[in-house]
Amino acid sequence: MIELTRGGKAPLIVNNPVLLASGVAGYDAAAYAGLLDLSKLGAIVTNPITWRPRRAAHGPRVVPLPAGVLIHTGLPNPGVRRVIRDYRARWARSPVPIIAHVVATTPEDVAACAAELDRCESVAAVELGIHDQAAQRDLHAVIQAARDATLLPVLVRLPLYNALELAPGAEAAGAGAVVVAGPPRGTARDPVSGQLAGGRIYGPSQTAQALRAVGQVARAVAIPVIGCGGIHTPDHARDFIEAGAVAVQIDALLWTQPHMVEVIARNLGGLELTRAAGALADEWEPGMGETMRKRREWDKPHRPLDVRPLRPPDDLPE
Amino acid sequence: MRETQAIIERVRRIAPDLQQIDLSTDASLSQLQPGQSLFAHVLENTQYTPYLREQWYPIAVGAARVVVELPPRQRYHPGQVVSVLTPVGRPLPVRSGARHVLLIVHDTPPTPLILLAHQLIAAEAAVTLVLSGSALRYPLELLPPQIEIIHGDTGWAWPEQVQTLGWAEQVIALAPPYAQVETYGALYETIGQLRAGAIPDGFALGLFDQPLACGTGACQACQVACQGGDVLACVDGPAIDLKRVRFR
Repeated sequence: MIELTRGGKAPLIVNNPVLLASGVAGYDAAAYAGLLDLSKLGAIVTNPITWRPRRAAHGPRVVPLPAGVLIHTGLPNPGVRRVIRDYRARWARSPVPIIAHVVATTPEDVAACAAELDRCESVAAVELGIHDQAAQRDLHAVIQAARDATLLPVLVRLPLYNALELAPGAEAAGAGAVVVAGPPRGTARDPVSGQLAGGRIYGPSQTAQALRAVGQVARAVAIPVIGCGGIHTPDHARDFIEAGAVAVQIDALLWTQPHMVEVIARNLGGLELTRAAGALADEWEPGMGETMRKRREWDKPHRPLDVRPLRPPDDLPE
Repeated sequence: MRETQAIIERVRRIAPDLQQIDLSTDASLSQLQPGQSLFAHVLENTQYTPYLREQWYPIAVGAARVVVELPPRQRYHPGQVVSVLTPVGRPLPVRSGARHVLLIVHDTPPTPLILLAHQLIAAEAAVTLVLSGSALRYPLELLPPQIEIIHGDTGWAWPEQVQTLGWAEQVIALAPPYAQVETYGALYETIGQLRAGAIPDGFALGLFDQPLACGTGACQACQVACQGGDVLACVDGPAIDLKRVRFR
């Protein structure tokens, strides 16, 4: 059991430290129910939700990059009321907690969204998506608005390049946890149309940057940090945990190798044997990083090796 | 949607910008219908390039065998094992009893319509294929000889446009992603003028074939603005009734 948020009326507790990030799995991950065992995950974060409906962006929306992709959807969604109406029953049947991702547009809209979600018993928490140009004052206002409108735990997803700057402010404003970080923005030329297109960048190239940000933020705040960005292997996910995250969110890997998300969840959830066959399973717990550290120390060459020559048994045949 | 594996049996370069790949597949893929596609990812791709899965349109489907056609963006070779998500999209909604079908392709290979053309010919329907722009580079000798080919110009006009649009019981258009809304809108307007505004449901379809990120409808990157609610090209398409599409 992992305490994903701190403070508030009731912390969000999940069974597995691997979550699906916002924007990759739809509103309930139903599209992936046949491709991986969703019950092995810790939670599902919905696609971005706004108070009013939003339409899709014009122009190129998917631009391939070397070892990655640039995506610009425009955060289309039918508005919070319609989303709740369409997905309330499905969320109630979800095998794992549902975290509703609310786009932090204005404090008024955030408060209205949070109030609607607060009345939906199948939502376990709210995640606020902070835009890249947000200042401390904006951050404080939207978090406060959300906290005033709901008793649900409030997570805050910070932009990558100013996560360290904003994280203490998010903690002070009452965030239950911070997600580090949202995918960074970029610009690339669409090979189909020849146009330049802006959007968010996904891919394993994000891992190193996100990992650094997680390490920095984890030292700067006392609330839980959830790592997100470019995680593609169990080792990536473990690196985030070792850097100070209590859990991780998987993004575009779900599109390219959905089964690998389950592999990572099983690995970090203690469902994958990490010791020799016949030994006890190495159960995951928050101290897993310590276990790994001890094992690595054990493997270091300074440990005296037993180099005595083997004595031949006495009863060897002639 | 389910994930299976396929093995690349043969790779043929049929044109400078087009290749066909023979796949040994799971038997379930024999259920693929025209308009549906595979979302493929080579398993030995450890360099994450291409990063996203590629959308492969089948041009022939048999028992445990599928032939797909795609641009040679990547080099594939026999023996490679491919992870395949299927099906992406819905079957093309061919009107019941349609005997005269007009296919219009502009500036893109007609690959998503080839399987349909074969099936229509096998069902003894009459098929006319209008090709214009870069679609004219498609090797026509690979198409069934029963298909009537018309060379169009770059402005979505072609010889005998009035006659063919009047003759057709269904029109299916295909354009590249950056031109779909504009060109399908112009085509729909032309059809409306010829038919005095009375266009039956499902008569004029546009294929919203575009780069997909997830192929499952989760990412919403392929949303098409429609009356009565936006639709997702990867789940509800690729064919969308032009009567529903909001062109402005």
